[in-house]
Amino acid sequence: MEKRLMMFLAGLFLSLGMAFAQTKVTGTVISQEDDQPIIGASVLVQGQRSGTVTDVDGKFTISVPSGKKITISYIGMETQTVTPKNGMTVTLRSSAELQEVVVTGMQKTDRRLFTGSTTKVDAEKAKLDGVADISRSLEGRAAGVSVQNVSGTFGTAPKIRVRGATSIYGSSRPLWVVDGVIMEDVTEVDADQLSSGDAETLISSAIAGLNADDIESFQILKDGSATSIYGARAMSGVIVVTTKKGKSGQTRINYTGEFTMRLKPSYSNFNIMNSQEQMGIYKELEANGLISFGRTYRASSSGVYGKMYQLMNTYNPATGSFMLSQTEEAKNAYLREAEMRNTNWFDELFSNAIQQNHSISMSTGTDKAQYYTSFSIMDDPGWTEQSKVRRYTASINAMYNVNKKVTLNMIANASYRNQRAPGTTSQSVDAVTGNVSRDFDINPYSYAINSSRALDPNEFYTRNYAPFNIHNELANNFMNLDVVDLKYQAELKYKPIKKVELAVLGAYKYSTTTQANEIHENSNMAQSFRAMDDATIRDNNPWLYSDPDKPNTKPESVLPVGGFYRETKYKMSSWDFRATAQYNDVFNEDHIVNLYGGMEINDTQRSRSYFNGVGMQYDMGYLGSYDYLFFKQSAEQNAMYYSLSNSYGREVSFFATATYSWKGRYVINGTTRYEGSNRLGKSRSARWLPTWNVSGAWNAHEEPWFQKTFKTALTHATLKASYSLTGDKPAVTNSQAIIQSFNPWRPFASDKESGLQIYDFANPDLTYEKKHELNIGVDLGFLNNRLNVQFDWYRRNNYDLIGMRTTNGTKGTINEYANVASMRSHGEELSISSKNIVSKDFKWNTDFIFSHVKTKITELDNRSRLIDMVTGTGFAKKGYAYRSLFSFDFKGLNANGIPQVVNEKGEVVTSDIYFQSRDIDYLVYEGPTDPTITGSLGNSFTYKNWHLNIFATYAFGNVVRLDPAFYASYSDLDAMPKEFKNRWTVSGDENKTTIPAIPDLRQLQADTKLSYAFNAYNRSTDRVAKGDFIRMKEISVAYDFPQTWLNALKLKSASIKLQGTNLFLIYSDKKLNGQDPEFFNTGGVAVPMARQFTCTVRVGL
Amino acid sequence: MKKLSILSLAAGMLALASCDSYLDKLPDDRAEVNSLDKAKKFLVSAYPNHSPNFVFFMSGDNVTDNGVLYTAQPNQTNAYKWEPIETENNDDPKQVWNANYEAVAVANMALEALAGDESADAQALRAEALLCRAFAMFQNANMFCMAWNDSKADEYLGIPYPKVAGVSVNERGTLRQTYENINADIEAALPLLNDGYLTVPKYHFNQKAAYAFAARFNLFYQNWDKAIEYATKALGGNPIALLRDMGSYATLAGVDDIHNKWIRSGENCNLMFVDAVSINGRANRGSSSYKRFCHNMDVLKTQTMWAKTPWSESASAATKNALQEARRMYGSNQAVYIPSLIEDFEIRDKINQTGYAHVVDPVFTGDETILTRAEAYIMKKDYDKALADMNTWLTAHCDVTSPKFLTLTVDNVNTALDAIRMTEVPSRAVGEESIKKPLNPQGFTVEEGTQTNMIYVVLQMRRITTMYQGQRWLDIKRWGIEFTHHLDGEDNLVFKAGDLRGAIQLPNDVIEAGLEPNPRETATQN
Repeated sequence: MEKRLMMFLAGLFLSLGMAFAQTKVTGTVISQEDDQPIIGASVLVQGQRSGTVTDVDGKFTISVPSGKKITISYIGMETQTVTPKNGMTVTLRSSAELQEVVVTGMQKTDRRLFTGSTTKVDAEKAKLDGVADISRSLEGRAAGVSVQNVSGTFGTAPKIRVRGATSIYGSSRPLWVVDGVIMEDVTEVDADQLSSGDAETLISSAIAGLNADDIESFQILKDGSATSIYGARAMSGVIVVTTKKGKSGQTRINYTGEFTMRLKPSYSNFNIMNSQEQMGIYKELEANGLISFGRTYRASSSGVYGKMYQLMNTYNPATGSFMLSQTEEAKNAYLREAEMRNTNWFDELFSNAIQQNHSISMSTGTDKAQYYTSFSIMDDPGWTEQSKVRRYTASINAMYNVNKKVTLNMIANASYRNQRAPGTTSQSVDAVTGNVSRDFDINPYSYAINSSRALDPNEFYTRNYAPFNIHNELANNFMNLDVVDLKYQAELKYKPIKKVELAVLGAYKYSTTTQANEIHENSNMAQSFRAMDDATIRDNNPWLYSDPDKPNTKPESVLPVGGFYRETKYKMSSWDFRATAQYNDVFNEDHIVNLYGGMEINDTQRSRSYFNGVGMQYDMGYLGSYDYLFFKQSAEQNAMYYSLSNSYGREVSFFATATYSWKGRYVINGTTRYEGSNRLGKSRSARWLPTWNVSGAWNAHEEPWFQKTFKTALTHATLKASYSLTGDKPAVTNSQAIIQSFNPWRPFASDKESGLQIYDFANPDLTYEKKHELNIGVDLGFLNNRLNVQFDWYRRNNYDLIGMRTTNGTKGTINEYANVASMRSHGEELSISSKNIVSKDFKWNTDFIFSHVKTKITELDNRSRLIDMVTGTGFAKKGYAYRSLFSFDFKGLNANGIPQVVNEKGEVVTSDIYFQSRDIDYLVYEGPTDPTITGSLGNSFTYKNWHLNIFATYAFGNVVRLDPAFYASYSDLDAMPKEFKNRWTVSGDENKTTIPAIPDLRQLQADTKLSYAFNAYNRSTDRVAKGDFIRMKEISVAYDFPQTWLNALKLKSASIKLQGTNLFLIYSDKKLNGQDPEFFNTGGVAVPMARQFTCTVRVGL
Repeated sequence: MKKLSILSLAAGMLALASCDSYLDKLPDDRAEVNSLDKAKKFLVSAYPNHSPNFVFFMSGDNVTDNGVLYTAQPNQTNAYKWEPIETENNDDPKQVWNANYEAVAVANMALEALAGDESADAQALRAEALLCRAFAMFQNANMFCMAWNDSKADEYLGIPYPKVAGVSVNERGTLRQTYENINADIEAALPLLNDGYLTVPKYHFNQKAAYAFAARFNLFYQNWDKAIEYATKALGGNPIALLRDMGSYATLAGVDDIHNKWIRSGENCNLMFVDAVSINGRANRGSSSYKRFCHNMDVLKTQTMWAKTPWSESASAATKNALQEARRMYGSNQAVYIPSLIEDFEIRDKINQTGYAHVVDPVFTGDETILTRAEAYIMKKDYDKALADMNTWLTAHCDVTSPKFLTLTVDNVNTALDAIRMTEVPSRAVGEESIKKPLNPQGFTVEEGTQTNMIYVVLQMRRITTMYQGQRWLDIKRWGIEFTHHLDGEDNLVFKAGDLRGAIQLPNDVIEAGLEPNPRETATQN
């Protein structure tokens, strides 16, 4: 670096004779790190001014006077002076952490010439061993990228945001590009659905089929300049994944084995009553008349008490007595047993079984052809009951140099995943009572924390009027997922002349998922469809059916035998075709020009089908047997037992980018893309979106005065600025009226008919959501680049966002979605990486990442119901952050211990609340639900062959809703938090506590809407906590076996690593009481990220 | 390279044209209405799924105040006090407005799809689409406009009448224009009617329903001759066959059975149903949330089923009241109801037992149509024919074995009505009211004596027949019936003849979007 500058200076002052004999030398400059050619390295004859720059292939040709050496230098690389030799290959070593090439997925660009904001993450460094989904390992690895693990189940995507949200109704998900091909999602799951726990989230991760060991690096493109080549798709940022390739001259076989043990959650981390405390509460419920023979014996769901009453009422002919005698002693003995039970549900439902991941890769190559192949198998026996996963992946990457001008690259990836998950139905929010619920939920995690510890884990209790035992239910009600992902791509490159490269790329992707929910006949869910033990149950069981055509008859079962086989199939197939042309040149040694342009066509087809096999008799050889009543009822209730829907995406785009640099000091860049999509209006102005970017960079360290001024104190300084327009397709597709078939509800099946209805009125002006972004960044390298600082500041203006519009309704609807909303955001990002100690044996590196983003909705006509604003992820409101959480204003307990909140009329009330109100101005603003500050601190130490890595992530600035724990009535199934000890019990307590009373029977009967008060309390100012946390994400120790041992074993490399992941929270709000601030406990298939230990063995042959 | 990029640009521009057709592919399997069969299916959704009946019922004199001890919902209170309703529940003006324009939008799109096709099938569908448009607009006009009044029709505001799909209409126009538009659509549709294609005729404008609609519209439009003509076409030669045989309900076990029979398409009296998502069925039965303003015992005894009429001596006893409906009343003192239009619940979430509350409204019935004809005959002073229709109605609705059963004549009508006291306005109490309230016909006249008495009887029959169907409120508006809404602890409210509050205020959103609000007299506001 120094030498290079010196040389520039020297060149300025020295005039050189050309008297020596000249030899023409051709050579290649490659980087040691990745064996990739270095573009634009300067090659100078030592002591002379004359020189050249390497081309896109790192090749140079220079005339050298005999006896002279040549000097090869490149920014961020150690300069080398070598003796010239024709056909030589010069390998430059990296002098700093700076990366020399930016991969945008379409192009590789010299970092000096790259004007956008980007972060490269080495997969090897970031990879969290034992976490099979690689997208999760991006957490805390790049400034401006936030990764929220809303669920830890394999296959579910984390909530990834690049520089915060960009859309109000859209998903704000970054675009994934793998080896230059855009990854389409099989199913579109938006940001709010990600945290829903619904079965569909299991296939929400676009890259769950990628083997983490196949990935070379991630390049995260953040600002408009970096992403503008993707223009109308890149509003939310781009994550470019590059997979490993074969290398010429080297043959390697690598094996990686990961063995992961996950810890079971422990009651010490939660705030749940033990069985003794819990029974104490039940006794009080009994004393208050809330648990009694009359109420509990035939209750739809009951636990210990219900069981006791049932035993008391069951005559055992064998013994000639009742199962439990009707005496106070027998009763007390039974209850005492429950009191002492202290069931550990975590032990029951979680397992420490070892998850294994084995991966073998082979890499080989000659100058003519290079290959990389890999296989992997991941076998997860499941952290929770019924959560097995097995995944197989295979990948091949072949590169063939047909001749000097033509290369062919072919890549194929295949993966198959077989997964088990507990059976689940979709979550629903009851807008009337404000209750969020899921029918028949058997999520093991949520069962463990919500079930009373007084229950016997091997006993059947009652749920939905039918016998229920969690182990039995998980064994009889589960989902099987079969996921196949295939990708084939081929790229042909042709260089008619040195400076020009033409390329065509074609890719085909196919993905299919079969999600089969098996509900066996012995499951509680199936049995509740036929639970009618007595007349009371028969009248009350909602799963029974009263035929309206038969007046005065008792309800009957629509599922007299068997269970259900519910199958949902998702299919996606897509084509991509791209043709590009590139031109690179250096004029007069000082003028570097790069032009790139091309066109792209995509065609994606998705389909989704659903089928409900009613009356499947699993135990009878899977024989089907249905009752016509099921279909009669479905017809009357407008429920369909099958469905099929297709969607088609078509896109065409043209793009071009031009970069000019003078001596690498000053760079200007312009990009434009013109994209059309079939999802938008017919008019050109709506359907086609031109996007663009203008940007510039100043590499100050290339200035002649720079090194003189700063010496080694400041060795690198780049200033960048960009301004751009990018966009994204809106979440709605009503450019033409959406007319769907429907079956209008009719009171009698005989009046049924099917029809067509308008689902969405036409909006011919529907167009892209757009974003203007101004980015200013500075990269600094101090002390010979031992300390690198990267800082970016940006301001974003998102407009034409989808929002509600109010019209006079005469077109057919008063409120419609249109491009009317807007949002602003701004933020700062800072990365500091420092090599604190560099010595032969000991190295200490520190990486600190900080990002801050603030969003504000500037234009939005809010039509949200109150219930949307106060639940989980909140919602958007003008003047506030994207997704803000609001609360009922809690006004303490009333004289009876019932919580009071302010209602829409401004009155302090208990239950007089209208959850569907659109009047939301009186709610209390709590804060955003997305963190505003995220980042990490990583320290890595290397001593000889030992490596120690300590990595902590943090997030601040958001609020989370505490899990709802308070209800108007409780059953003998519920587990209660320990706060209950401090609850209101006698008059006067309202001055001392905010924990509501357990309402007694009289209170419940006096106010039939009492549950509203508790639902409001669960969503009040009293039940919100800060989402701030600092998490010890990873501590790992690795040992590289010394070369001497390896030689003896004939190995190239071998290492072993022990890693602890998600170890603990260093800091979080005390109010959370063990609730993970990142995780949304919504039941279904959602479980938090486990605390885990992984042993990784790596062997290279 | 430059050449290359220019070339590729040129190729690109050429490609653009073909790209546009490549991009014309619809993003999903949405249907396009491009065949007669699809147009027919599309018209299934050309009927509004929200109903004005709740607001109409709460605004009229079928309800009164049970007192502050009982709960009322905000929209219910607003309607009772003739105040603007700003909530957005299923029965509120916003939803009704929206649903009616949605129906119009569907009708317009269907008409667009049918354009140019003159086949008989297309003509029949065109007729249905026109009638759907006219019906939805008539519903909106009834709710948001004043009653027809020929002398003020150029002054009263109408409602926007969209005739082209996808285009907003931003002017309300006059009431005359609105009625002319409705009339034109009906007149254009009637000659094209053909029931042949209907698979579920009772949920569509079948011929009988179409003529019943035309009859009702013309009665409101004060075209008595046309009202008679169309009602006759609807009723045919044997009207009693199209009347509800109330006697057949006497043997049924209870509320659900009566209700189920009431809304069966097999009941010949039901000419057409429109289903609405509505809480009205629950409110009318005196659900605790709605119990304050209800059809209570006082109203029942003085003005509806048990009121003093020619066929009743103000009592429920079978011997003193021939009316079958009087014996089919259920409920409590605060809310007494006939299980006709009670709620049907569509369960969407079984565990929480939540879903949609529906009310299936037989919007056109033989019973209402025959009374429409009777009223038109009275206006024509053709009392014999009017009496014939009224007696047909009585035969269907009364227990013919009851001592109070009678065949109406001009004389016994006059005698009976003269014996009924005129209700004072404001009245002191509901208990002092009667079926006779001051009439001030809007834009027409009625003679004292026989004609007025006959009108009182036919209006009473209509009130009973259309108990929860909102027609009473429209009769109040048409006839300028003055009445009192009592309020516990507050001053009584009086609805005057031609009261501007008869035109329910437009939804807030619609006013904000630029439509002219309904005028209010500041004096009557208080």
